[in-house]
Amino acid sequence: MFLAWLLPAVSLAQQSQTAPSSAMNVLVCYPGGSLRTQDAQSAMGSMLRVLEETGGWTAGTMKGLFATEISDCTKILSEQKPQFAITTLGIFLESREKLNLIPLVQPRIKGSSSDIYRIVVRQGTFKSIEELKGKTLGGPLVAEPTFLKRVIFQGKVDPLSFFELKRSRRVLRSLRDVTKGRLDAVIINAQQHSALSSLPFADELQVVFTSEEIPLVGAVANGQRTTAGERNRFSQALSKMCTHQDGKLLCELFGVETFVPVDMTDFGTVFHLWDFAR
Amino acid sequence: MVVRYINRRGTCRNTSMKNLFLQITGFFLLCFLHSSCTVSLPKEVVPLEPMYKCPERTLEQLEKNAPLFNLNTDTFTLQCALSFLRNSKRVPIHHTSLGSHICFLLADRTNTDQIRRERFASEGVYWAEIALTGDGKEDGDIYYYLAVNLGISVKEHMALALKNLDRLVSSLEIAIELSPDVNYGGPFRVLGMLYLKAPPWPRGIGDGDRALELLHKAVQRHPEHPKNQIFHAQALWEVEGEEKKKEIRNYLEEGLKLMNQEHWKSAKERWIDDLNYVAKEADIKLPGYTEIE
Repeated sequence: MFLAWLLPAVSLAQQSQTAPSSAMNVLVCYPGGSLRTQDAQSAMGSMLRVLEETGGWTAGTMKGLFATEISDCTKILSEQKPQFAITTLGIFLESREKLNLIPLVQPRIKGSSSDIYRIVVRQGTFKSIEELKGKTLGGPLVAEPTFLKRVIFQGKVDPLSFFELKRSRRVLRSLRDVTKGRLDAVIINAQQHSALSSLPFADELQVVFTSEEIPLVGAVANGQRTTAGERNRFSQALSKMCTHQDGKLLCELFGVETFVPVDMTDFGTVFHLWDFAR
Repeated sequence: MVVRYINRRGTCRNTSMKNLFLQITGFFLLCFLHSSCTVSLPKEVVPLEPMYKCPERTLEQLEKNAPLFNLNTDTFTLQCALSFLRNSKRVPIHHTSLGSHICFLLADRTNTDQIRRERFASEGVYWAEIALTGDGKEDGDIYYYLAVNLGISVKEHMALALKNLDRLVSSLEIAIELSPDVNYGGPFRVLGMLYLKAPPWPRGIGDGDRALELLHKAVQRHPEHPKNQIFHAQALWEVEGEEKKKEIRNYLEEGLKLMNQEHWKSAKERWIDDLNYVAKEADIKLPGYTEIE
């Protein structure tokens, strides 16, 4: 497996420094982020320069697109059709069939390439998700109700009718709001859950719902606008990113240890849920 | 040293060192500490106006004028002052915030040439570091100008910015302790925006509530600075959202009104983008104002 993954890298190294016929657009969707597009450009530039270097592309080959709103992400995906995108699982699933999006690599965080979502409430207020009917649910993830419904709740709960959704860009604020009684519950991911103990009010919080393991998606490609060779090369470039001098810092920033090639069997359940858990 | 530059060898005039070992290994250290050494500048500095074009002045005059330097001070005057500092022997004025303040003013107004902007800012970091080796440790202004110059130096270089985040925060925290009112509440304003823009918890130090608290303090202490108004509006929008729209509008209107005052006019062009951004994001139309592209 490892060798099979390594061999293309050798041949890719031989084709390095060859520019493609046209620029490659890479969309980064960062829902919940508060960066202005113009501020994000330098960060995007840093990341793309690392990818160009690790993938052996001529500097400037990749052009970055950036969005913090889910609606902007899906719009850019469908209108500008970037060759590659770094996006959330929800956005990927939403556009997968329409744009023939192909998952390429997954981030590995704390040894795992999957996520677990949890609903957190203030201690002693609610004991189960059923008790949260009609209550307020916050956090950045509530901006993706379809993903919540089909994948996280597996079709058993429709968040739009079950909760009163209170979107917040900042999960830390939502957690504080829960402790102050301004919000009933907040949905968090595994990374956030494992960091709860660092918060001074961690003892005041309690988990009332835990999802199944859900695969993380890192980078995806537009299957109509990329060749298998380009996708392979992009995957290899991302796989080397976390060992690159500058890329390492970017990986550390997001807690990513490395990027690993996608194991499609992990996505089978998710695709099924997306299609049928309506 | 955090910002990447290489020091040139200083020319030390102290000839009293008799110990050869010290002469070699302690050369830099002794030069650094001894007041009669000339200053070793960062290798790549922005060339300034030749000194002969500058008015003759004494260090006493410079010290007297320095507190008056601000964003309206003309570039020629600032360059002459910086040139004077560069070419002076190490004197007490090098242990103040003057060098880093001048470099910040020059970097801040250099918008079109990023390399030049970063070189001014890197030099500002250098002067702040020099100042902190002397009597400047209790001078909060130095920490503030160290932070803002460092911020400009690394802003466009993500890896460097990440490496320096802790230093930026700690310098600004010291500045809040020692000189909260420097540059119209600058330490509150800059640290507040750092918390607003930094990667969020749990991976980063980003904290909207902390940002809001600091920017609120900035605008409370110095409502006369347009950026305090605008940045507070921005934090309100990003953290509280729609429900604070009326307050956001008020802050933006006040910020715009202030920017039209004579004192701030020279900076308006640089700052108007920040106002436009918040107004656009919050969908607020300000009366009698058309967005400047």
